[in-house]
Amino acid sequence: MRSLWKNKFVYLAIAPTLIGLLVFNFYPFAITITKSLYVWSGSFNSDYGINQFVGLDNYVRLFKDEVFLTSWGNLLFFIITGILANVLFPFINAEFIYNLKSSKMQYVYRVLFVVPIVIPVMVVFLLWKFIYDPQYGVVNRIASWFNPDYFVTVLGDPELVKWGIRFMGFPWVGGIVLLIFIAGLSSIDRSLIDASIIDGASRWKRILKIDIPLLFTHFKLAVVLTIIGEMQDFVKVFVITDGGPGYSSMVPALYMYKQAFEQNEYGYASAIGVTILIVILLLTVINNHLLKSRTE
Amino acid sequence: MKTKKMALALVACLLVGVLSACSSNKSESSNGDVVNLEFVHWTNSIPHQQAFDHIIENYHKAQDKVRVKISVQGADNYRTWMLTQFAGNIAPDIYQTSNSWADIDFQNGYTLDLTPYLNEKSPYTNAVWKDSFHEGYLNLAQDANHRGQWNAIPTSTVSVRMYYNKKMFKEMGIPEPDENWTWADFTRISETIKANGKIPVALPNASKSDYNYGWAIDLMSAYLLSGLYDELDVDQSGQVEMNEVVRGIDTGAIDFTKPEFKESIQLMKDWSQYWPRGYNSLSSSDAHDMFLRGDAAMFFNGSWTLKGTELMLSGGGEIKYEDFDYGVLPFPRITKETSQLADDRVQFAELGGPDLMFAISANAKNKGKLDAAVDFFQFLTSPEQFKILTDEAYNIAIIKDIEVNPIVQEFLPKGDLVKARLYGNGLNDPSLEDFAFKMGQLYLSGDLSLDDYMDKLQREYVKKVDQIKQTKDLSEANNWGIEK
Repeated sequence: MRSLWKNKFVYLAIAPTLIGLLVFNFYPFAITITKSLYVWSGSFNSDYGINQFVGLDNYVRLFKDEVFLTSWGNLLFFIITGILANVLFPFINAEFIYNLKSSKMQYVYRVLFVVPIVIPVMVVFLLWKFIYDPQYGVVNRIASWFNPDYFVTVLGDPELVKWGIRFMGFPWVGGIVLLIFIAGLSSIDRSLIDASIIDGASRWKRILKIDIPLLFTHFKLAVVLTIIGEMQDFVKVFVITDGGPGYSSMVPALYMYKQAFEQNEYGYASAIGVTILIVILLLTVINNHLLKSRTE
Repeated sequence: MKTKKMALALVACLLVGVLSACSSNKSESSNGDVVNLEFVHWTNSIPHQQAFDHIIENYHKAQDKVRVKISVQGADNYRTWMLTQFAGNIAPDIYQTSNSWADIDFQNGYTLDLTPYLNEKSPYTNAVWKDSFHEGYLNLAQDANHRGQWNAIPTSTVSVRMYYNKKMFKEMGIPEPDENWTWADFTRISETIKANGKIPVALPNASKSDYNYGWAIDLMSAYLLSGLYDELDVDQSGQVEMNEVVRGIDTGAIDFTKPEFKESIQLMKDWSQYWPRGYNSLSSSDAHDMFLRGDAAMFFNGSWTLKGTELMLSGGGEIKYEDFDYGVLPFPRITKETSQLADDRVQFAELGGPDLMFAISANAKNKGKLDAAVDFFQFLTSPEQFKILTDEAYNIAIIKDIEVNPIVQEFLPKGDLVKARLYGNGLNDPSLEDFAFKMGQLYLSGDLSLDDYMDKLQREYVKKVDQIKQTKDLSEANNWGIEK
C-alpha cells in the first residue's frame, strides 16, 4: 500500500490508458461473451429490440449452420495459402535483399518492397477487381491475345474465386513480415556465416542450416500474425465478392459481420466472434508449441 | 512540485477526456425554439438530391421553427448503417426505409406507428393526410403483421422494364417488339442478337443487390404459379403475405421440390445462355455500361434508372452516345408456347408497389421532435412539393393530383402486381433472400443441381417458418394469424 502511495503519480499517469483499455477493449470483449448467450438485436436501450437469454442455443445453432461450416472450410484455404504466400515469399525476398553486396542497394530494395504498405488496401482491392472484370478486365484481354475463345471469370467461378482472392496480394512481399525476416537475418552472428563460407558451404546450404533454424522465432511470429490476419480480415472478400458466388468465398468474420449488421442478429454474431477468438487462441498455442519444440 | 502539479493536471484532463467520451450521447433536440430534424435517404442520384434540397429550401422558407438537415447514405450499405444507428440509439428522425424493414423495425421498437398521424388533417392539403395518397398503394404498405397500421408511408411507385437498343434491333433486322411480346418472341430475338455477335441481355448477377435474378424469377412465377398464388392469398388482399407463406409451407402447398416450382428456375437457366459471360461477377453498373456502349442489346432494370440513363446519354460523361436510341418494354409474358403451366389469364405481371417510403424513428419521439417530423413529412408529400421530385427526378408519385412526367409513361404499371415473391423475400427475411440468391448463383454456374437447389431452399424455408411459428405463436389452430 505504501509503495502504491509512493508511486501514485506513475499509477495516475497510467490510469487514462488503463481506463481506455477497459472501456474500449475489455468491456466490448466481456459484452461479446455475455451477449453470445442472448438473442439480441443490438440495442443497449432496454425499451427497444430483443434481449432474451438463450444459454448456449446460439452455439448449438452455429454448429448446425451450413454456411458457417462452409466459411471455416474457406478460411482454412486462406490460412494455408496465406501462410505459404505471406511467409515464404517475404522470406525468399529477405534472403535476396540481405545477400545483396551493396548496402545502398539493400536499402533501396528494402524501401521499394515496403512502400506498398502505404497504399490504401481499398485501392488495391478495387484495382484487382478491375483486373478480374469478366468483360473489360486485363486477365481476359491478355488471354484473348493467345486464344480469342478463351474466357475466364475468376470471381464468378466457385472453383476459382478463392484463388483469385489469394492472388490479389501478389507478389506477397510488401509489409511487416519482410521487415521481420530482414531484421532476423541481420541479427545472425556474422562469424557463423563467415565460418560456413570458410568450410565451403554453398549459399543454399547456409540458408537451410543456419538462416532457417536461427529464424525460427521469426517464422513463428510471421505464422501467428498471418493466421490472426487471415482470421480477422474479411474486407477483401466483402469488397470483391461479398462471399460469393454462392458461399464459395464466405469466411467466418464476414459471416459474423453480416449476421450483426445485415440480419440484426447481434447475439448470434457475438457467438461467431467468440468462436473465432477461441480458434485463434488454439491455433496460436499449437503454433507456439510446435515451433517451440523445434527451436529447443 | 510544479512538475507534479502539471502531471496531475494532465492526468485529470486525460481522465475527463476519456470519461466524457463515454458519457450519454443525448443530443440537443432543439436550439432555442428551433427544432433540428435529421432526414436521411439512400437515393444517391444527383437529380434526387437536388429535388430534396429544393423541397427542404421551400420548407425553410415556409416556416422558421424547424430546420431540416438532409444526408444521403449509399444504397448498398444503407440497411447496415441504419441498424447501427438503431443499436446506438442515434437513428435519424425521418428516414427512408422499405416495407419489410419498417415492419421489423417496428417490432424492435425502433420506428413509430404512423397511423394516427395519417388519420389527422394535414395543414398542407387541408384534408386528412391519408387521403393524399392513392389508396391501393397505401394499402400495400400496411404492416404485414398488423393490418390497418402503417409503420412507413410510401410516396412513389416503381416498375421494372426491359430497356432495348432500338438502333441495334433495326440493324439486325429485328422488328420492334410491342408490349405484348411473349417469352417465345423474346427468345427468338435473343437468338438473332447472339447470332449477330452481340450479347442479348446485360444481366448482372454478382450480388443480391443487383436484383435481376429475383425480379425475373418472381415475374416468371407470376405466370407459372398464378393458380397457386390465388389459393395462397387466403385473406384475398391481393398479396400473399408472410403469414400466408407460413401457412403454405405448413400445409405443403408451397413445396419447392415439386416440379411446378422448378419451372421458372429452369427457364432462368435456359435464359442465362443469352447473358454476358461471367454474369456471376457482373455488377449492375457494369451491365448498364455494356448496354450504353452497345455491347449488349438489352438491359433489365427499373424506372429509377431512367434519369441516370438520360443524363449519361445527354453527354455528361466522357463517352458520347449521339446515335443511341432506346425503348422500354414490360418483361415478356410467359405463355403456353413456352410452358404448359403458363396461365394465359395473366396479362401483365408487374413488380413495384410502394416505394420511396419514409418512417419516423422512436428516437425522434424521445427527443421531442415528433411533431416537427410529422409536419415536415406532410409538407414533403403535399402535391406542390412532391411534384418537384416527379419533374426533376422522374419519380412516379402515388400522391393524388400529381401528374407523372411524360417520359415515364412507359413505366406506368400495366397489369397486376406480382402476388407473391416466394423465391426470395417471401418471409421478409433478408438471410433467406440472400440464401436463395446465392444458391441460385451456384445453380446457374452448374455447381449445384436443380434438385439440390430446390431441396436446400425448401429446407431453409421450413427452418425459417419453424422459427417464425415459434416466435409469433402461429399454428393451424389460430389460422396462422391470418385475419380473414
